[in-house]
Amino acid sequence: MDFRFTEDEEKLRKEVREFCEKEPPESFPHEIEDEGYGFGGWSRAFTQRLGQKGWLSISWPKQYGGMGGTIMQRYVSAEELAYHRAPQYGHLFGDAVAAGLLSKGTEEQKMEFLPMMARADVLFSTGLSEPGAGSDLLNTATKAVKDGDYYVINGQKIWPTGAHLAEWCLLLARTDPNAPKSKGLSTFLVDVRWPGVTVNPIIDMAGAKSFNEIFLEDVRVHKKYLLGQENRGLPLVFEALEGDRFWGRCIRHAGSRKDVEELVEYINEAKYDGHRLKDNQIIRDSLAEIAVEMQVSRMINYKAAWLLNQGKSISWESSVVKVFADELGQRLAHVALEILGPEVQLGEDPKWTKLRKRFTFLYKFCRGLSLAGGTSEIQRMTIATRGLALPRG
Amino acid sequence: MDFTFTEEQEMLRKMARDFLTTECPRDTVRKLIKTETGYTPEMWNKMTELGWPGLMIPEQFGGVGGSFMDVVALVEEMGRGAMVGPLFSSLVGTMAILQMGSDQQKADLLPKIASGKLIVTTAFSEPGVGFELDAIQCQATAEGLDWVINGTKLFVENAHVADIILLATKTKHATKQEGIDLFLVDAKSPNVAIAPIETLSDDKQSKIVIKGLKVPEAKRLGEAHQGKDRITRLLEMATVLKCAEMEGGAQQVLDMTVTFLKERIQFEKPIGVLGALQTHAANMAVDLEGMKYITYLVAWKVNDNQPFAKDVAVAKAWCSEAYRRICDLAHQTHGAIGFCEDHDLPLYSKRSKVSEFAFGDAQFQRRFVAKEIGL
Repeated sequence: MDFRFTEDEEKLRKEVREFCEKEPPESFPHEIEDEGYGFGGWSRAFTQRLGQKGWLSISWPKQYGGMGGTIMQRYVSAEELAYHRAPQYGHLFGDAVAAGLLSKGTEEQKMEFLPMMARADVLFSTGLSEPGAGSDLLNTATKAVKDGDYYVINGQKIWPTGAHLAEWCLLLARTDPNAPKSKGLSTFLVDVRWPGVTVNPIIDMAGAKSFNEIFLEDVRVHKKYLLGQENRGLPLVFEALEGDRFWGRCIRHAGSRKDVEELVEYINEAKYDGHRLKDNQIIRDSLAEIAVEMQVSRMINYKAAWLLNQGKSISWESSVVKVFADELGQRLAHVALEILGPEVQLGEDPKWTKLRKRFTFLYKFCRGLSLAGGTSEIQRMTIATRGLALPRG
Repeated sequence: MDFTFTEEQEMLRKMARDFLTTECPRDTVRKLIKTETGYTPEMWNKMTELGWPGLMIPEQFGGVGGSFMDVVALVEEMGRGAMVGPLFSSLVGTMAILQMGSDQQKADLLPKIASGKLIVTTAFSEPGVGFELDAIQCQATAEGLDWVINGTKLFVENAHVADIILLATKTKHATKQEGIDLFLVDAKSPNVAIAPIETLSDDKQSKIVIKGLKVPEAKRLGEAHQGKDRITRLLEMATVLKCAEMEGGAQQVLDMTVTFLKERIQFEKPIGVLGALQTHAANMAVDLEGMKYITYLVAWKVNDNQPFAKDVAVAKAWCSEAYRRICDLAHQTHGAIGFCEDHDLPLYSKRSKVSEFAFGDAQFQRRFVAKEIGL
């Protein structure tokens, strides 16, 4: 057992911290506000600045514009950025696409996309779900029909996060309607600016414009944009989803640490009904409980990062990461609103307006966290069947 | 970063698991907890041959010279096997001597502990006092070069079979200096009355009443009246071991539940296909993953001589509640069969509650955590 980070990892952490202090993430323009994942919102400008530092491609090989570092270094930087609420939304999910490109992409695809992605000149979204295919991706109905050197894609995707801001989309479509359901799916790299593609943002119950629906009408995709082998798209998607579950949540504890620090400051100052909040044992206990869970979340995340760093599968471990992080986020938002009370809805106290606004938004937005990327119920099925080898129903 | 035990620790774990499976299977455990002593000298001798009582005792004193992490690896298996007997409490007492004892005390006691001839235990709690050392009432008063101890201690593990009880008292001196001290008390003394407590899990804990017990200065550990910080640290280390024991037990509870889910057939299918029960199992797995890594983190910090006070409070807070939840869901999954006295599950679920109490429950720990986060 050894839970120390290496010297290289600590050095990078320090660099990232100093960068965040010198160029505060909130000073960059945001396209989507903080979504409550614990690492801020979506900002092209900030993402490109990270690209200049080389921090979008830490673990990719050097020949594709990467830094040739490790997954653990990449993780440490994400953790530090999360604490500073840096908008990482634009690229953390893109990492799953990069992983797919690195493992299944052609040399030509790697050379075309990875250097651009490393600079954030292009961003990716992932188009998997459809109105009739949520977690049941085998039900994918979007069709890709071969026509000479091209595939003609028709269908509809729903829920891709940031598709209205990203140029490209990793898209799952059915290439063989006659094969068994799992054997006829392929993945494509699709430029959403191509003719026939329509991206419509969907406004969520928190009022944020983060996810989308995509309509595809006779979209012609050159065969060079088929990722991996035809009809073998599913394993790639599962791998990408593993990465998505992990990278999307693995830094929740770091983001929440900042939230708890701010709540502590509030509790130590505020009074309600004539009593100091800091003398309220229930408040003290609730926030301490959150602090305990944050530490548990952190260790669960480290375990998965450690496995990933060795190139090992995190097929169910990533579900543990996700369930814990998402539900912790919801509990934190709930405890925060109990602490802040009804006045959380007021915007008139300059000292606490930002804190109040953040938690009212989080409280609403957190509802979606345990749904996005597979509901907590789906994650628990994965843990039961893959982690514990229980029979499938 | 490394989440694995060393090869030697893995060997120790395997040896412990094999030994407990063959020499102290759960049927035996069930029988032993009904006996007065709660273990057999034969079993104790075999454990001594394996080097367990002396695992953390340096080789110069006849021990194995193992690390704290080695002990954690062993204790995890003790929890997994629902082991009975005075080993856990003796390990805690041994830590006290190692941490606070003088060279003379170490030379006198450690070889005997390592050779299995001396069983030690510790006494902290009192009526109305948990693990808040400042609240201790048990009193040692200086009388010439000796001390006279009076007071009552609660939940002293295996006091009925121990030779020495390491007992925490308030100390008062003629010079008006006051403090907390730890004494080596002869458990067989006529001034020490030991009465068993009927605990929730039939483990062997006692109430002990000490009346006018004269103890020479040579039986006091460490610097006079300065024991509080050392005892606090000792309690924290013991708490880490308790977490490891709970986490090992929780692992066994999950394993037996998964086996049951696969083997129990209802409606012509294994019940493990049912979504409600898969959810129970997944929740148990998540809680257990947390227990493991949070325990390993603090164990590593102890082993590495890093500050760990906050980490141990966090770990015990989590383990206390997670283990109880795991046992609750295991019972719900097993149905009536798990409610029977001769089933394995109650051995664990009853112990989970008693373990929650040990060294302070989740609320106790969170009071400390609240301060640590700045409240």
